[in-house]
Amino acid sequence: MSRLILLLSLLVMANQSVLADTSKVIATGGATTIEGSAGGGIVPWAVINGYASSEQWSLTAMHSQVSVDDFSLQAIGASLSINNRVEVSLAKQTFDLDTMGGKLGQDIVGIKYKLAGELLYSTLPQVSLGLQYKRVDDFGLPQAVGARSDWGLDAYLASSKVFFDAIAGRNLVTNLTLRATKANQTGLLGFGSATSNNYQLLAEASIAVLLADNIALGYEYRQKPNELSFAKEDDWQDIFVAWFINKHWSVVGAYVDLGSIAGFEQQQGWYLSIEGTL
Amino acid sequence: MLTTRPYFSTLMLGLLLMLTACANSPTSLYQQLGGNAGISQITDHFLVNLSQDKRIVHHFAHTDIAIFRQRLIEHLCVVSGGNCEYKGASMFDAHIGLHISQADFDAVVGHLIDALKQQHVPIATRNALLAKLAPMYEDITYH
Repeated sequence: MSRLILLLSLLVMANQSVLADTSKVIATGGATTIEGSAGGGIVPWAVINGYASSEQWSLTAMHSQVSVDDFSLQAIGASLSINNRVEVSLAKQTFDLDTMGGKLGQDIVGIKYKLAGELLYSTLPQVSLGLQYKRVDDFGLPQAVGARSDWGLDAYLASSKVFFDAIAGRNLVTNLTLRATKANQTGLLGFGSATSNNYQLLAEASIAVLLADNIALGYEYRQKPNELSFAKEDDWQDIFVAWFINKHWSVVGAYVDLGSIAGFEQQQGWYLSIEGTL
Repeated sequence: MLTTRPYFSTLMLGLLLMLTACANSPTSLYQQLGGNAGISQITDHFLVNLSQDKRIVHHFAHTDIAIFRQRLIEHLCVVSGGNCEYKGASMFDAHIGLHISQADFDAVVGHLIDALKQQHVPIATRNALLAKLAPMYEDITYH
């Protein structure tokens, strides 16, 4: 997985001339979540990653780092977008248990398909359906804390819409995502539990104001399941600033509140993501 | 009471005048774009940007640019609330058979944004204009 992502990343960074020009308006591809899908930092949006419009394709590569009190997460990922309709993504997460010692990890293969609407142009929001197949690197610890399976499939329905001239003349980006999942802590602690193998239906939302064409200030909220009995799992939230430097580079910084993780309370800290796009 | 009433009436009249002034003075979108002169210059920047884009310039191979320019100016004037008459066809009729794709439309939006920036139109005014133009996607593309 890492090798594949590296290969795609090298393609993105080094092979600019091979790709045709892309046409989408700046910032409309969004950023890339820690799970590899286009969105904010933790909530997938209905947007298709990159700047490929109809009959175009686009590649992205991202590296994200989250550091909270007792843990740190590193995610690398890459995606291919076709016709502003389909997005295929790969992500690899490494989760360091800084205080406890040890690490967790998972691979995520995602696909997103735009069902209806256009982010900027339609009265109804853009609506996309997404799937994320996740598998943990090592099931030892997840199994020990009560997870049932080492892999899982998340399905989500995301809707996104830009409201022009909404607040003080600035454009507003709104997103609502419904996700069906069995993932404990997004899958890092495995899937399902000893007592439950049911999908949980959870809501995720984000809102951002475009202070300039290429700078967004936003907030995200992600509801989480709480299925493992060994420790409480909290909802996640963050406040972010995204800077779309140009159509090839973007940087997102955020302050994140991940709540309680594996018995460690009030995990808060910083998120930084850099993305390259062709 | 008798002495305060005139003051009260004057105050109300003053407020009314101020509100009327507010409603008129911070100007229509048309005026914020610089009126006819501003819209003409925006249109010229826009046309130069379009002409330099190899992805879409072929769509204008059989276009009379002088007439197209005039219709664009009229259209932007009407859309922004100016007192003009648009003498062209509807957005739907004007694009029949042109097979404008989403990529074409996206590129044109990009060029319009650039043209507005070149004319130093403030972001709020730009966004207000885009709010009026973006829904035309449905009428312009794929037919």
